[in-house]
Amino acid sequence: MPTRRTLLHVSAALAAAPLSLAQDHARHGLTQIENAAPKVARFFNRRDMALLARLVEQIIPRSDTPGAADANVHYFVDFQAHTNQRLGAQLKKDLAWIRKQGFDRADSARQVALLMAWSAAKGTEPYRVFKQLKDLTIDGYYGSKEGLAQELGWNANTFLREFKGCTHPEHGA
Amino acid sequence: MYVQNAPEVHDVIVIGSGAAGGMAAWNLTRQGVNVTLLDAGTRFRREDFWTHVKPWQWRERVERGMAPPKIRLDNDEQPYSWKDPNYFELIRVWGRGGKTNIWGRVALRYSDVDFAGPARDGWEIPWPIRYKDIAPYYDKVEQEIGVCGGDDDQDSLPGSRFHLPPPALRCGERFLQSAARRQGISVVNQRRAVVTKPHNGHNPCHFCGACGRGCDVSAFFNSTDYLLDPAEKTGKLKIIDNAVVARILLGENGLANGVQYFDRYTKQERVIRGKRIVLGASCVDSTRILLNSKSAQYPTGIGNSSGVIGHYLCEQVRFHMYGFIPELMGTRPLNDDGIGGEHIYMPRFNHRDGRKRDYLRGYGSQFWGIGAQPGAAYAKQLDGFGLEFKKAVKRRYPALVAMHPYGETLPRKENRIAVEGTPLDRYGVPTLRIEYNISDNERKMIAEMYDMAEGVMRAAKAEILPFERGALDNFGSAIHEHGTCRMGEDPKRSALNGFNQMHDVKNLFVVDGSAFTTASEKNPTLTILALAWRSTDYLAEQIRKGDI
Repeated sequence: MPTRRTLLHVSAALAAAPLSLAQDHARHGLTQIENAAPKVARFFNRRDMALLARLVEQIIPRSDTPGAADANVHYFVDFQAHTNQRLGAQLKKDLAWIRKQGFDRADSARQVALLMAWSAAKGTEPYRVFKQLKDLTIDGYYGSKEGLAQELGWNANTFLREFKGCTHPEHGA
Repeated sequence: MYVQNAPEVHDVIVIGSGAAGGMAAWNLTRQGVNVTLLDAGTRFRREDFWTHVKPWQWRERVERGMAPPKIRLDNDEQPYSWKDPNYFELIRVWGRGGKTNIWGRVALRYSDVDFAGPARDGWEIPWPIRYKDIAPYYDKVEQEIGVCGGDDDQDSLPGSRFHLPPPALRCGERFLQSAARRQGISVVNQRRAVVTKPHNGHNPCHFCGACGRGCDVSAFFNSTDYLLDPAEKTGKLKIIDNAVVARILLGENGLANGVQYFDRYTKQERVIRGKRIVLGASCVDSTRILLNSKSAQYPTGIGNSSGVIGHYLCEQVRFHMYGFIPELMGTRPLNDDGIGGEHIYMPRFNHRDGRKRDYLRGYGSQFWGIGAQPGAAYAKQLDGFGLEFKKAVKRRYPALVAMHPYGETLPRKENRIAVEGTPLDRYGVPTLRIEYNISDNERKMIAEMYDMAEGVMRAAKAEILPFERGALDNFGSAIHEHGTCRMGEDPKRSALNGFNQMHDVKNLFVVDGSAFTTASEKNPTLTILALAWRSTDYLAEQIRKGDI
């Protein structure tokens, strides 16, 4: 006959089971992907990749946290181009246009000035070029560990026994 | 073509394995009835869900050529069309559990504000049931599957003494709740079919917030784990996988006597015979099956002497409004996952203030996407770039709030699902075409919905992201199709009676959203479950009496 002590042990193990089940499952996933392979460009050439790295870094630069180039956002853009033929063709043209504006030869201040001019010209082709790159940079950076976890402080999709929600008394908690 | 015909005559054939079909199979088998269920796919493996894959890990996997389990049906596999220019977004799941694998888990009771609405305002036919008819079934469903929620009770959103504990509110939800109260609008704990404490042997939620990818511990209601697995344990349920149903067959006696289906992959045509048929393949696919089930007696589809099948399609209108709460800007982000989606809900209130509207029916609001999210798409709506832009994005990150008002659409005959003249699918069966638009009634309601949402945001002193007044999400995006095989008392104006039984074909029951007389502004799944339970209680009783 089970004692009260053994019953307590069994019920504690049962209570913990769902969490450990999910944790085991997740750990299995993590070990597969934390050892990420070095990044390889699949669509753009080395020259285009260098230009892309410069562009994304100007859009979201390094501060006390990594910038977009640190987060390999140019490789994210490359992968989007690789998997979306239409986007890839458009970006190729856009990078050629950006090069024609002298962006790749300009110093940082001049690069910022060019981006400012394009970003202010709403409704024009330069604005479209800028906005598309900006949106891709946002998707790439704030979906990266550097952008989402380090910069924004996201620490979720995890395992909690209790969800506390808002704990600020000043918010009515 | 050689057609495989099984000689066995099954007691009950259930078509579909989602909320409707799953409930039918579960309720019948537990009452000793033998059920054969046709599922258009197979079981999704929980172990395969990418529930705990961080966004950057997801990206790594995709770049390596991996993919999460494909739960949604690929429209290339089963095409559909719409009447231009009104695109209709159709999301279907063929496989065990159907859409309950990835549903939003919002579990709201209809009330007599909904059931008595058509009788009150005279628009189209009345519901044949009232809240008192279904309330005991809501009780039973909630006890069985586990629904968390508060202890409030309103005329437009009945309460329940069976709710599991609600999750705590996020900061942004507190601000919007207070702001709505200051506007005289009640915002309550959302009711959701998430198990917030161990319930009926189901694992509790561990608050990872990734429910939309499928739950790896089955902590929210899905038909597979909560209904079909227990039904299989009775020994009374047989499931046939990859059975894409084309037609329900009619016998000379005017009763349904079988089902024609195709193997999803081999395309082998098969026919099984049955004494009773319960159709629960989701509103659109059930309607397609009914309309394609033509015979000399029913040239426009089985049981369609009224001509209503396919018509009166309803899908809610909705839009999204985002903002940032100033008091939360620059604060430390919290883990805001909770049970995924919103913890609060705004029930319909526009019938209470005594003010006469120039439109019929009403709206409520949902609030998902509040607080720290796994991304910052809002940044695309902020101007600029560079360090200042980066700071602006970070500052707003913990402060994001969102409103998603849902409005009822009136049932109108011209909104329909049709199969005539459509291309054939890979099995040679006509595909479906959706013809859908909204009317002035909805447009007037939407104008008020925008005023309401903006008013609440302003009362919260939110910095509102730019929005286009009057803009709507795609038709169909709520994934709440209703009304195309509606129930009613008048057989000339409805296809089903109040027990989801066909007026014309007494051994055929339709138990999914197509049976709804109106759509309400609410998510329908809890009501589908309750109606399917009630309908199959009736069917089981008829079987016991030997009447069907």
